[in-house]
Amino acid sequence: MSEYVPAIGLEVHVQLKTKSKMFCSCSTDFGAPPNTNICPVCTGQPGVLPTKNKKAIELAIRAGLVLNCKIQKYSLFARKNYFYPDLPKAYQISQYELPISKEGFLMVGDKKIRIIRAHLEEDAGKLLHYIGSTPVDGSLVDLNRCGIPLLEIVSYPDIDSPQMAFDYLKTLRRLLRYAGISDCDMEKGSLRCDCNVSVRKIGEKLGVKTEIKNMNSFKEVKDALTYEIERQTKVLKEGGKIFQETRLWNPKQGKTFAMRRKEEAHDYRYFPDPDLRPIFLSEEMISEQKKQIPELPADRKKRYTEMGLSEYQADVIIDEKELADYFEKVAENSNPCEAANIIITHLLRQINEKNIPYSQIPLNPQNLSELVNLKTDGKITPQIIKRIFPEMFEKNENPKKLLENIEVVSDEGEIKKIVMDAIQKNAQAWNDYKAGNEKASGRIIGFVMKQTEGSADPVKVKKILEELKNENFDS
Amino acid sequence: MSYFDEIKNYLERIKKQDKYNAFLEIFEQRALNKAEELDERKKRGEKLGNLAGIPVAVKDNILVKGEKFTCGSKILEGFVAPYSATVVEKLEAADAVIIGRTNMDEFAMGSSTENSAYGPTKNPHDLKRVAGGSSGGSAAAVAGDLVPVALGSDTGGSIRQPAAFCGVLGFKPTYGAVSRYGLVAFASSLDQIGVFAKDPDLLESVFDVIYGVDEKDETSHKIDTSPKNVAFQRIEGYPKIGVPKEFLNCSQEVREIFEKALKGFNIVEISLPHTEYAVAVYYIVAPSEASSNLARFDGVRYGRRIEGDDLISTYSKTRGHGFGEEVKRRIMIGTFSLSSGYYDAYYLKAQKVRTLIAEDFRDAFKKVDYIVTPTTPTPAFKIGEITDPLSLYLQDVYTIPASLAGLPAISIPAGKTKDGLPVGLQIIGKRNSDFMLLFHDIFYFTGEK
Ligand SMILES: [Zn+2]
Repeated sequence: MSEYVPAIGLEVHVQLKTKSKMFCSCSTDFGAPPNTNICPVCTGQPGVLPTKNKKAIELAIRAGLVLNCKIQKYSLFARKNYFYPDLPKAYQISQYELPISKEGFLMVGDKKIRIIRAHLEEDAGKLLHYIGSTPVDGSLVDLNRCGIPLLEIVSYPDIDSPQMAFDYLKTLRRLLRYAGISDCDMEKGSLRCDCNVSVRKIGEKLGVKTEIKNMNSFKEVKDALTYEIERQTKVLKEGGKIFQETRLWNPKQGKTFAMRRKEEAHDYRYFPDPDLRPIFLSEEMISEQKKQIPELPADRKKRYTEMGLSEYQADVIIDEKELADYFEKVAENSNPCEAANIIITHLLRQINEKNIPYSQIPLNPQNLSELVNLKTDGKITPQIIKRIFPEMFEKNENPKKLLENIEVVSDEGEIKKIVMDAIQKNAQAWNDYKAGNEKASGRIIGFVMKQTEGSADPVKVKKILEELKNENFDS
Repeated sequence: MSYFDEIKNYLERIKKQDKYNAFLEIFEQRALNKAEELDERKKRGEKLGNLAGIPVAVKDNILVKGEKFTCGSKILEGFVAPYSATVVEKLEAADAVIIGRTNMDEFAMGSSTENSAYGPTKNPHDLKRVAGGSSGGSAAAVAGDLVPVALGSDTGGSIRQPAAFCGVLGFKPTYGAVSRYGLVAFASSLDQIGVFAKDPDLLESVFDVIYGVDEKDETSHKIDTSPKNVAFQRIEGYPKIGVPKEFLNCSQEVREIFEKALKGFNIVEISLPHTEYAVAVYYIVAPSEASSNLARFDGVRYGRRIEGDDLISTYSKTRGHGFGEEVKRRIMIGTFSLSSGYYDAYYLKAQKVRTLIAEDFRDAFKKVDYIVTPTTPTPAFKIGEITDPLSLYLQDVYTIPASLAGLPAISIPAGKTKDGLPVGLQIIGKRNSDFMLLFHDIFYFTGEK
């Protein structure tokens, strides 16, 4: 172990869930052909003016609230000036000195990660490079993303490991998705994360930080941080110096590379945007957003464990709000623990195998709760559940109806024959069972189920075993 | 006479008689199409708009969809407006005929229209003299009777100063009274579209069409419209007119004409103590905003592009060749003022002083109804006469304070010098009192009604 410890701060950009862009009425739909969601305003034509999207401001308030921030009743948009072909106005409208919310925190497990600020801004466009190719040799600009509303959430360097950065991102994403603030989908560009990282000896003040960009998944964030911490530690141990610079993560090589040094950094010449009035928030606007906040993941988890779910079960179920909502509907009419169990073992497998979004689960919760009830009533074995579940899931079938088609061996005489055969073949277990070891019956019952492919009525099997024990049946 | 013939006459007149270089282009087809449409609709007995058939010239920084515009610059050469400014939409909806675009100082930066990439505009009263600027083309077009009315834009005096030089009415409304959507921004917190005319009634009816809240412009707001329906009555002692002592360091001749025009009015001497800082404040705030507003002219999306070896050199070649000297000078001043380490000392400080200047006016308006000043310290100067930028900046010394305070102000002809050059008188009103200014006071000073 090295005596160096890292300090990590994250800058997360999330796309706010609005239908139209931040300062014009263009659509925010993902995947439209290049330069189709554009207008004079978001392409920075001469003479245009921006106008604020009210919904984006509301979502920013809501985000500030769930991140425990102080909501600023007066905040300003500023211009961040720099030249780049994906930035049509040559300035980005952002918030600088007076952000809409600041000084909050996010609980990641037991650890409190403080938030410096969460501010509104607009996204830039995208450059598509076709250098050396035909028919286009050069770079093209797609301005569809230009003007998409973003919230930049900046944390203090309170994160002390790549794993915690990973957990922070997961927790943040879950929170924002629950509250309907953002989809936080990295693949669709609705969440991006830059990291500021430095290392220092325990007890010393913060070291020189580098900023890492270009991570495409939470795992890449973790990998990039792991690499960068090792790199910095090595440099310092060898008596070298860390430069304040921006570094790009290269996922193929698993390394970060220096992009630009601080000395070459832009002077963005921020100043309040004279085209936009300040944002004035009323108490009503803030309390309205408070009302819009649903039960959040941490509260749900607490409630579920109180219902009897294990920590693990609760964590899995709350991970996605839609899954948790589904679970609640199932648990309304059945035993919650058993419901969680079946959801985790069977439902999630189907969902993952078939790659179905939670919003489109074909099986309705009523049918699933019937299945849970059959299970808790002992009327169905795990083996049968395993057999019927795929069909039930796909066709949204009532489990009772599916059971009709399954030949259940319920003739006591026949079951007794199979049980006696099982006893013959598991003599040791039978003797143990007779000697008072209840658990030993499991091996015999398992054998019976295997023979009958799970179709023997387990209640009857158990009953027969007890009878035979009382008769002191001998193998 | 049909609308068609009338517009045709105007077009002919502009073609033949624009010896002032007032127009950069006439929109012949657009104007004739509109005139034809009006004749058709009239024949069908339809009700036409309030400005039916009135030809309006627009300054070259106001967008008219489908027409070229340049802001008096080479950098936008060949670019066609992809949409119409709100004011143009409103004028066309009122059946006015947009007849052409007028010359201006490049990106509205200047006080003589000598900074146009398309040559200076000459003053109809003396062709050797400037028409003023930056809306010199619009002022000369009206003064030379090429059109009865024209739109301009005023950032620090760009309507009032050329109006004074050309002897016409030039009205700069309250900041935010008229939508800026479709006006190419120079200094966003100061720019305002306004009107030139000779006839105060026509000026008022054009303003009546273009003013109003626009959802495309957050800085637009409601103004006081109550005077619109109130017939003016002369009340003893009203209006009380304040003349700020800081505004009288003008030429002897201007001062004499000014004082003569004010005879018989209820005059109070007032003080606007922060006036001396106004020009300095303006030349920090306006270039700062301009440096950001003009950054989009980079050759990537529209207008002229001069390819360099790489992106940066394409930017600098395009901008180096495309912009004129004065524009580059102001971009440099603005870029410097906003730079980190200088922001507090320049931009922020200037904004604070701007607040003090606005407070001066607020205090003064507790005592008086209007503030009246000469519009300019001198009448129109000769083309090429002033070459030092600072001396040219001082041309706006009387118009800048009202711009910084966002107040409505109008320049009206007050008389002529011995050489026959017009002298303007500026009336500044309270914020949002635009209709008050138009209804009462033009009448007072010009005695035309
Ligand atoms: Zn748009």
